[in-house]
Amino acid sequence: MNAESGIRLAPVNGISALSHLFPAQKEQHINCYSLNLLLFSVCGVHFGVDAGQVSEIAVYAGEQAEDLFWFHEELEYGAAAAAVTYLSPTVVTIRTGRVQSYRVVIDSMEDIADFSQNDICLFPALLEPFTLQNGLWGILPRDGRMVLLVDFKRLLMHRHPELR
Amino acid sequence: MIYMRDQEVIVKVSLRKKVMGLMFICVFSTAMVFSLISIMNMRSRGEERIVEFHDWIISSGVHVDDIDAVVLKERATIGRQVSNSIIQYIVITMTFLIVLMILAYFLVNRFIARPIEAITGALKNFNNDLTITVPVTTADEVGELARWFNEHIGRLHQIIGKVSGITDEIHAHAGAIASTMDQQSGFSTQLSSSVVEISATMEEFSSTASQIAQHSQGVVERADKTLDDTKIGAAEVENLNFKINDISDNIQANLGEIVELGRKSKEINKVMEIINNIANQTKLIAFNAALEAASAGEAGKRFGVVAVEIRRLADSVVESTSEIEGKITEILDSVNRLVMSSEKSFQLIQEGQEYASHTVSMLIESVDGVDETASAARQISLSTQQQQIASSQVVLALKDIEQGVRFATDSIHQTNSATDELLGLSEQLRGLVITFKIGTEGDGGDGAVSGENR
Repeated sequence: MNAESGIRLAPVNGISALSHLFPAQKEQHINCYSLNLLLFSVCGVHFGVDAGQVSEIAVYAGEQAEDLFWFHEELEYGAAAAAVTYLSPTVVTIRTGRVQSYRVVIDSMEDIADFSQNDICLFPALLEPFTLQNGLWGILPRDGRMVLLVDFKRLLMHRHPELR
Repeated sequence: MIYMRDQEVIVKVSLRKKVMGLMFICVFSTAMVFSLISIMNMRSRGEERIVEFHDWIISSGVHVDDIDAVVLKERATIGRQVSNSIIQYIVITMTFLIVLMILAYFLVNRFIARPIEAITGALKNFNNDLTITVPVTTADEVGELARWFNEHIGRLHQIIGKVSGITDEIHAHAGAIASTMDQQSGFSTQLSSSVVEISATMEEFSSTASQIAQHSQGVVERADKTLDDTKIGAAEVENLNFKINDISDNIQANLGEIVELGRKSKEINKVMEIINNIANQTKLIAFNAALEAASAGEAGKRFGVVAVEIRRLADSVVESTSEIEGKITEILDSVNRLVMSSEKSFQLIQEGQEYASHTVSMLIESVDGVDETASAARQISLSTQQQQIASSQVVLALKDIEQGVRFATDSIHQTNSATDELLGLSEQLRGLVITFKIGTEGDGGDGAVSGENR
């Protein structure tokens, strides 16, 4: 998505006015382009994923399959995993570029919108090794909340190393 | 002799002197009469002389002048003669009178004065001594007087003796009567005080009975009123029971309606769930459309706008359904609360109904009990009124008794007073009798009346 195309597909807060909260991270901004993000939350934690990684969204009907995994299991919520409940579980089909598709069950889809890359902050170098291992690559401040940007592909690499 | 007796001045003149004086007067009068007669006889010599014992008259006639002169002369002569005669007669009369007086004095003194003096001396020294006697020295009137005096003294002696005995008996009986009257007076006083106490107690009893009668009457009225109120209460409670039943039925019906409302709300909820599902699916479709629009790039921008609008619409539908669900949930909660409240109310009404039924039955029982109580109170009131009337009659009777006892006590006191007076009089009588000396046995030696009494 190009923020300069003029049509804003995302809410105004996609171009965050909170960028002043993270002034030290301005130097880490990649560029001024916008990024179409799919926002959701699991167990009260807000996440965002590049909409390009999602090919389909469907309602979770309770099925179980090898290509279907729960987001919180993959993200290793740890001791809090037992207490995770999904209010409106939704199956997101991940576009991997392969024939085999993988699906992730997420919860509480909030929005699909364009966000300026200036609003996205990367993790500090000190934390990058730890976050990238779990597929988290950045933070998007939005409405006073932290949206953790996740890469589903990286996330699936733990289970499916063939995706490397 | 002049002396006082009973504040009267009595001039005592000796009998001798009286007799002497009387005789003197008689003789003098006789002498004077004789003299006058003589004079008259002498004066009538020239005219007529009445020759006694013959009843015929001798008379002669002369000239008046001569007669006058002769008369004058004769008168002078006669006067002289008369004077002389008078003087003679007077002298003779006086002499005779003196002799007679002396003789009379002697006779009176001997035969009248002395016996009378003896009698007088006996009387003077009487000193209430009935044993004394007057000496009878003559057989004439004085002696008879003395004899009769002795006779009467003797009778008086007997009488006084009898009187003394009777006085003693009277004194004794009066003493006995006085002591008996004292006892009777004491008993009467105690009886009077006891009757007064009983009367006072009966008056209090009567007063209390009156108060009890009044109170029992009040209790009867209260019991009757309570009975009426209880009956009314029972009827009201019964009506209340019916109303409670109606309320219960109404609540049951309302409960059914509420349950139906809840059921229908749940049905609405199901519909809302369907709508929600549709909205979610629509939202997913919109998300997918947005994804496709994003992947389509510029060509998919319009589609993306549509997708966004559809997602917004879905969001608004979801939001609305959420609100509706919230409202329905609130309605369901309210319905549940209402159902619970209604069930609780129904339960309470059931309990109230039971209590009301129980109360009705108890009231019905209490009506019977109050009826019996009212009847008993009425009986008590009647009995108390009869008791009050009886006690009033007893009080009146006691008052009469009290009055009678008071009169009896007064009579006894009067009798006691009279007895005391009688005793006093008997004492006085004894005192008077004692003063007479009758010389009975057991005397004090001086012939005084015995002082024995009660």
